[in-house]
Amino acid sequence: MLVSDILKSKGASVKMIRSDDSAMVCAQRLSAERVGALVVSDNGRSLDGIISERDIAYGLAKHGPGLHAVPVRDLMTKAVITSGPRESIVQVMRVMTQRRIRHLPIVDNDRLAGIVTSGDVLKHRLEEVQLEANVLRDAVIAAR
Amino acid sequence: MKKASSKVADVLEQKGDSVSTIQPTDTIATLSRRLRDEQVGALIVSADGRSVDGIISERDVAYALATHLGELHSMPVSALMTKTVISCAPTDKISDAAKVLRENRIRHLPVTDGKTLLGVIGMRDILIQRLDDIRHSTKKVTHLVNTNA
Repeated sequence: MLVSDILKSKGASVKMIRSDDSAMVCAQRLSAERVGALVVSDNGRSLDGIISERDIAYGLAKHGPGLHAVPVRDLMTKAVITSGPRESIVQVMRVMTQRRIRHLPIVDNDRLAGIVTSGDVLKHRLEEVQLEANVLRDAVIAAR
Repeated sequence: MKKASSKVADVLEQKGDSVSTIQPTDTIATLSRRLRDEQVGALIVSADGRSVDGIISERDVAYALATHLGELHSMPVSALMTKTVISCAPTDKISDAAKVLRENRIRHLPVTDGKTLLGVIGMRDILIQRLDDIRHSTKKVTHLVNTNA
């Protein structure tokens, strides 16, 4: 199973925000889009950073009552860990658990091709388990 | 030999049984420091450290910033926590716990024995368990191949 299998079912759309937007705008977007992270891009193509619910929550510890006015660029992760469409899902699981991240932008030929989350990986795994169970059931029926 | 279907209790055993909780009267500022320092995505809210009064996550803090702005840091945890908490039992299968996470779009499940809090199982724990399973079966297959070669 590859990253491209996940992207096939969820699509390549990536929700973005600009680095000069405020933490308040970021919070509004996260909440309205019902996502856990946004890719930061000033021109809509480059991967300038990533900002997650975690960055906002931790940001409160650092910035206190002024957090809502802090620009995204001061809260985002700049050294973004990415993956490619031909990477295996097991490898993606490894990266996510070891680096403690939940969102992995997928880059293909320098182009942003989508984003894979820990929730996507879990969903995929559950479908695999269901498939294995069905195969086993069919094998048992056939052997009778 | 590994069991065919791992249980929630197996994961808790690996994680250790210390459960971190926060008081409903603590502030969101305290919560954000605790989340950061303990490297967790959510904390169980408990007045006595045993009952599950609620759960509060990074998501609750992030989403609330949009509406509460400068007031957020001084609000009590009880104002933002999820009160109707979905939990699981130590005897539940990991795959069932995973389904519950998926269907409810949540990342953390408190593990309770009736009313008492035993631990928390998160999406990360489930993925780690899965990687462990893969490593074990790869080892088994490698052994089979080597002994039959």
